[in-house]
Amino acid sequence: MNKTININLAGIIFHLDEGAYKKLTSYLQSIKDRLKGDPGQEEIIADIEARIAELFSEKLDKVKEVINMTDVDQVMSVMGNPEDYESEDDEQTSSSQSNSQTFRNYSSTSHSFGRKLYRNTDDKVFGGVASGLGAYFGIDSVWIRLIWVFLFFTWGTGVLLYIILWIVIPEAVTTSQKLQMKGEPINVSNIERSVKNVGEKVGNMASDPKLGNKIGNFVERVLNAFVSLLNFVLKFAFKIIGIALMILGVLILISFLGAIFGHEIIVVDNMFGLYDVSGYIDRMLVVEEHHSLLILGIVMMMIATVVWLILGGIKLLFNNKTSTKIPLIGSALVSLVGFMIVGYVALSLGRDFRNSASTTRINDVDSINGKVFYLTVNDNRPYEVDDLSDELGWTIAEDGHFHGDIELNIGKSDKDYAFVKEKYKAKGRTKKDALDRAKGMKYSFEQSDSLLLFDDFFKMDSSEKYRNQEMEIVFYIPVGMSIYLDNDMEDIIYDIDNVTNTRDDHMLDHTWLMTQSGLVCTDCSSDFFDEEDDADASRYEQEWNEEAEELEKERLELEKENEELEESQDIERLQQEVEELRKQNEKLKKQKSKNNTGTKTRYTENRGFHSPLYILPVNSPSIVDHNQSYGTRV
Amino acid sequence: MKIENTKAQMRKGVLEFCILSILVNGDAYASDIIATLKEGKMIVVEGTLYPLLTRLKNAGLLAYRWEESKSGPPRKYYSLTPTGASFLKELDTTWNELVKAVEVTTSKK
Repeated sequence: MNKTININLAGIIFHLDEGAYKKLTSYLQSIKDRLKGDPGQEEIIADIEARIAELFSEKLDKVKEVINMTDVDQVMSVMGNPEDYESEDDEQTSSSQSNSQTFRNYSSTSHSFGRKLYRNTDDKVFGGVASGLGAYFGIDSVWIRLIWVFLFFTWGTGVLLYIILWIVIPEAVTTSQKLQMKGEPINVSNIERSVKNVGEKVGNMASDPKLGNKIGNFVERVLNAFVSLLNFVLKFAFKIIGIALMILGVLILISFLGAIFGHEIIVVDNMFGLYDVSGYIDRMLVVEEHHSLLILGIVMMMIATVVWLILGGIKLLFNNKTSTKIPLIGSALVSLVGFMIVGYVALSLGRDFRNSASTTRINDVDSINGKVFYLTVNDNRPYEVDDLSDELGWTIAEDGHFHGDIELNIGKSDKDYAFVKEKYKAKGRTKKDALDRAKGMKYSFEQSDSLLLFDDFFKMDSSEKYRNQEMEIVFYIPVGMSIYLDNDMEDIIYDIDNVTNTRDDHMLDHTWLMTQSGLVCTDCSSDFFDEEDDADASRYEQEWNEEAEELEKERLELEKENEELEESQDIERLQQEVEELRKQNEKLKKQKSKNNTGTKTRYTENRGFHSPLYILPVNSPSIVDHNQSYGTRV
Repeated sequence: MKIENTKAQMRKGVLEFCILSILVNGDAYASDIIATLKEGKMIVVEGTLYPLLTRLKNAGLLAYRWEESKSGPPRKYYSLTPTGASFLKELDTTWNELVKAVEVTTSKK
């Protein structure tokens, strides 16, 4: 049973089966491509279609109603190959034909980009991918095969890529597909040729005045040439992007394969930190039986991305129109399953965090007879810390896991001696799991006389996973006892209560005495508290003071200026006043000669000269005037 | 210098001459012209002819009209224009000259 397709050829309806239809369509298309640019193209195609319709009609009768492949093949053999449609490449002998000739020359170079990638099964080793690629890029397939061999030895990339290409690239079956496959190679010399052709035409136009009126037409063609050149450049860029996408896809795939098969394949050193991260997920979070499942799930999730990248790359690279629906949807489904697997693992992981439990251990501290306890961190770490574990606070070592989630506090002992209380906390699927886990955590501190060395980590068995294990340590000291916090303690102390509400980082490097009301600093200077704030404040204060000084200076200058202006304006009044004063003076002199007392006279004299400057009212009209004049001067 | 090119060039001029000669005896369908040309082994496949007919028509040497067909789509019925006729006459002369020239040159030994 075959599907038939109805077509309309020169006004007559024909039933074609699917294969025949495809063949006929590509045949007509390649003829069209051949004739592109020919002024009579449409007419010629119409004639050809009419002729094909005629030939088809001859083949049909009352019994046979459908055109099949054989019919199309016969018609094609009658009509000839697409290249027969291009009339023979003769020299421009007659003037009547020179014009159309130029057209065809032009078109024969511009249509060469419409080539497709097929597998060449006529020249194959496995699937004809290499020879197909060779034909596409216009190079000998030997080179492509050498590249495959090379890629085969580089982590087997070639095999993978080859299989993908084999699946994706269609085989060249029909003559027209084989023609499309071979076509003209896209290379620099071809572009050069098409540009040169345009150049030649420019020359022809200039030398032939008859063609002057066709300049417009010609400009259009030059523009077309540029468009096709631009097109080519764009396509080239797309191809580069395509290659990049494919490489990215393959790299991701390989690195994930590496993750499954035990990190044996490492493409780039620590690519995306994938190697380390998967190791940490493996050993920190996931229980053994889920490990492979999780990795499988993640890889399945990534498959859609990888397949889409590679297919997208191929599509861009080879301009391939093959339907990729099935791999796209298929990979999306696989990814969905992967997503569900990861979800399942995550849910089961989540259940391990459902219950929490804690256990407490108390360690007495030897008495030190009134000396100060010196608290510091034991820097004798049994493991090395790399960047990643430093970030996670979790270190995997040969003999166990080390974790640094510790909070140390200082408390008031209700007994007359000091002791350390260690509280271990963990989560688990059941209360019992959590408690067992908490009991399995190991922590130690050392005492040598007054020196107390605290570890900044606790240890767990190698089989242990991260289940939110944490520790609270409280160092209880009786009233009257003192401690000194070393700078190293910064990482493990947490919110230590004290009378002055001093922050943890400010408590370091100081001695603290336990009193009835809490810890009090015994060696902090009085201005020590909130040093930083003080420093800030004093800095601001200084700035403000400087600013204030400057303002003051300005104010004084203005005042001085005011005074000067005042003086010059009031000079008349002053002179009058001086006159008056002189009169007064004379009067007083007369009085003086009568009374014989000098001091009083001097006093009056002084007051008289100074009074106009000081008595002036602040909001007198004269001041307003000065301000205005001052303003405009600035 | 390819033998194929030379052959094709020789054939091309002659092909135009043949088409015009067929039409001087009376108007004809494309398929008739093809049939005659095939008979004389001038062409092998039909594809070659259609671009040529269109080109001759565009050059004003041929004209056509549509004729209904019983067995298929309407057909183009080609005829010679006066220009075509004089074109043919010239070609005829040239052809005869060529034949003579070839005869003379090839028989002289």
